[in-house]
Amino acid sequence: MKPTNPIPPSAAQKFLCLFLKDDLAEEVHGDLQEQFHAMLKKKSPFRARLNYWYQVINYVRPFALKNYKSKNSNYLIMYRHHVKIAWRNVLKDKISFLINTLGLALSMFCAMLIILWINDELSYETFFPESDQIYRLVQDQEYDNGEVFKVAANPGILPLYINDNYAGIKAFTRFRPLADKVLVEHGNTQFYEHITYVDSTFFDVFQLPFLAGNPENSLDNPNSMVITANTAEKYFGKTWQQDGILGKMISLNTNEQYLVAGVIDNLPSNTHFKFDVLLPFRKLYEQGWYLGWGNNYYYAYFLLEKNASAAALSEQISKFAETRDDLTDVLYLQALEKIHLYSDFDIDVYGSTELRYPYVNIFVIVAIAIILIACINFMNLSTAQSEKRAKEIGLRKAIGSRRSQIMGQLLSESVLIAMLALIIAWTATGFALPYFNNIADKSITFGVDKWSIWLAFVIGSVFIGLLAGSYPAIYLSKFKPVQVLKGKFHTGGGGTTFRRILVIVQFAVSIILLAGTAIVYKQFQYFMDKDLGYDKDLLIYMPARGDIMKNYDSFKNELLQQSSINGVTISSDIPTYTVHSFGGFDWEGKNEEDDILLHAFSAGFDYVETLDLQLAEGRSFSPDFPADSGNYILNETALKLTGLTAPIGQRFTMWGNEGKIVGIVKDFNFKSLHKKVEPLVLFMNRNWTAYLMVRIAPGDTDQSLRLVEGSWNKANPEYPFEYHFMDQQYENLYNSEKRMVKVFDYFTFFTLFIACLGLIGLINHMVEKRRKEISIRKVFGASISRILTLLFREYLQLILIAFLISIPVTIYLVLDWLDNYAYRIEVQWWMFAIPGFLVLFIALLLVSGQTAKAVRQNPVDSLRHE
Amino acid sequence: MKETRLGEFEEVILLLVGILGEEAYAFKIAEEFESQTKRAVSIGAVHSTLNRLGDKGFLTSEMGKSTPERGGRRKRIYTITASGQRVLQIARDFKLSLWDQFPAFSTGKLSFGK
Repeated sequence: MKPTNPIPPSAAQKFLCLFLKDDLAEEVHGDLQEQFHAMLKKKSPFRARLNYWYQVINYVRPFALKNYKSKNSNYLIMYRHHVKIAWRNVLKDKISFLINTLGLALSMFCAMLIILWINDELSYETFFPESDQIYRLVQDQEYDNGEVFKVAANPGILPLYINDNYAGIKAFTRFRPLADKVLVEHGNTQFYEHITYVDSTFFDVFQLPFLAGNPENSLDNPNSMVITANTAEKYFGKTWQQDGILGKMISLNTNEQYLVAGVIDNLPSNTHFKFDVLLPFRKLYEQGWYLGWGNNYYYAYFLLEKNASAAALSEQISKFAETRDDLTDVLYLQALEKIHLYSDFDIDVYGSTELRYPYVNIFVIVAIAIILIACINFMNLSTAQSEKRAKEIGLRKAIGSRRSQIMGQLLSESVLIAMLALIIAWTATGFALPYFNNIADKSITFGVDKWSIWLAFVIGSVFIGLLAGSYPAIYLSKFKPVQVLKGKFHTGGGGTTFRRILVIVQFAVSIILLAGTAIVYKQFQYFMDKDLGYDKDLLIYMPARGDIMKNYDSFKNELLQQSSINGVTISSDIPTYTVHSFGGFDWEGKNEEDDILLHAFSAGFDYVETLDLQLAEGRSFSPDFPADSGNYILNETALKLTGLTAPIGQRFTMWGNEGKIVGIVKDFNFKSLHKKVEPLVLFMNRNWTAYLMVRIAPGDTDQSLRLVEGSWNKANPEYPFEYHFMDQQYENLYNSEKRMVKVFDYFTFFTLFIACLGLIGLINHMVEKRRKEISIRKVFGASISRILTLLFREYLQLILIAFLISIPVTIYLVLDWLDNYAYRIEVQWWMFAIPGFLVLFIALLLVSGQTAKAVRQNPVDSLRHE
Repeated sequence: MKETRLGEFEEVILLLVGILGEEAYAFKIAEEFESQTKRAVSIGAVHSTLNRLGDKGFLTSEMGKSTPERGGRRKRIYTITASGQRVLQIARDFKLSLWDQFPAFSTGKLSFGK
């Protein structure tokens, strides 16, 4: 398809008119148009247009510009002069310039990454339209033993009741992801997927863009399904959009059929939701899920009216809850935008959550510290630099330069350096972002859509430039030219003290970060190495899917015949992911009034043996005792709670099912080490089974896994075998710590590096000033080592002071962080000593390197000027 | 004080103005430059040089006719002035004398077409 009569790009023409002198307009427009038509005869219209742009841009030349003043303008000459002088200064002291610019660029780079990270953390959920009006219903369950159990889920009927009885709600939806993945098939494509049930009003609350289908009625049909674009591509190929996807069939669990009724865009990464397949909530009614009062299984989100107050609604709901026995008293609304940072629920949508805002706070502090250090360094070095230029300034003043002009010159120089640093930092950020995303497990982009951050960086850099330039500008422009030119100019002692303090601060920050990194790392190592009370190594688990439980006995017997399989058992929970905790227990001597929360897992035979738990008393469940199907095993913490002294054989009741306590297991960490071991009851109920666990013998792990897979495929042929290693899952519990260790590694290194740059600046400055002193000392016979010792002593003092300051600050910060963990390391002296010595060592290395030159030089060179 | 020396590019442009005669306007000169030298040049660069040559007094210009492919706009036709011709002459003589002094290429071995 060829345009009949191509014309030059109008934007280019407008641009040309913008800058071109009026009296040139006619000929230039004419020439360019003629050129354009000549091009058209030989090349494509696109090439011709491109060339037109090229020609227009090539007209941006002084002779053709509007308002272009004569070359003899004073301003222009002065401007050129300033650039020339600035450049000469750079050439005169390249090292200082490099230190200054690179140091600033490096800190800007760190600060940029941190700011992008913080920005991402704060941006969670904000992409939903009206995200500030969306809330979810959560509850704090308070138990009589003082436990507060925080649950983000609610009874299925409660949201309906709230919607019917209170004003201010525009739309609401319930949300229930299945804990385990489901086998999803289309044709020959089959995968395990997480699926989620939502009300048909889901898209009224979360107004997500549809790529196919429409939000109004896509979930009205109980057999309809909404999937994300990724999922559509996975099952229907890249061309799903052209092929027409609506109405195509997808089957779940090999026998349930669903029709694709809508495709939504993929969710961005900054949301707490993770779903690929949405099914209508009413399917849960059909499947007989309990949706009445008293069972907290469902998450509920409300979109409030613009003028409605969430606090008022919260209060009404909790008033209502007080009137009912089957609702906990503390029900409240949590803002959608706060879910990511401010959730610490024992039961949340995808497992338990931890508060994340402390991490944001830590990074805000680190970013501020880095920027501060950079500014200080920059100011420091700029001042030292410009003092060398006292004579230049004196001369300028003598030939009539005004103070404001000198200030302007110095300020614009430092702003220029700041901008240069910004450009370097910007480029570095662009390159480093993929790696950073990898470490921090993010998908941060830095495109034009982040223009507000870009603008903030530019303004920030100008500000840093002005700030850093202000001290030398004000200070130096004040001097009387006569004095300066006579050589009486002396830098004040005050400036040096100031500089010393800055170096102390920098090194204190470096030591704090180093020690902090070491401690965070140690804590992480401790998590990995701690004896948990069960053996997490060589233990695999498989979600119980399909028919596996029907054929479980043969599966187990077959495996146990192998010498490489040490144990097989089933449970409702695995030690890295526990969801079952309840009230409603009774035992001998319990206060009838108290409602006490216990964790309760169903366990199969050999549970204790397979997990390698230690029995404190009694025995584990055994097929030799048929009554065991109604009996209980408690952990030590639960035993303590009951107050029983001789527990074995005592009566214990769970939800009215009376049995006996047959065993007590020693406490084991079935939750992350953030929390102390909580009371636990083990009972037997096969229907609760969610996981199969297999302990394999040391040796050929691959061979053992193949055996398990073989038995699985025999017992459950339709469902592909999927397994996980417990130790890997365990490590995943500490992902945020792991990430922090990594990120801190880098930032600590950078901070130390920047502090070293600062030290180099200070040493250079001091050596420069004491050059004569050193020479005189040498003339009088001081040895090189004597002089080095003399100089060392000064910096040693600074670093010792920094060290002393850093210890209490680190202890305070670190203890605050470690208090998050029920199981934690003790802070030991070497955690400070090693970073301290490291910093000292590096500093001394720098000092000797930098001063050696000054000390070795011939005294004549620095003394002959007197 | 105006500079009156001639740069290499300026010299070529000045010659092209002479060669093109009535057709010496920025686009044509740029086109001719490209076809003669096989080097790409933008009209802006040529125009800027023409302007500079005008300032130095080697060229004069006046608005000429318009054509349809120019959207009815007139073109600026450049002509060499007497001082322009003189400076070309000087440049040529200077180079020829240099060539003559270079023993390997001295006249007789190389022909300059004249």
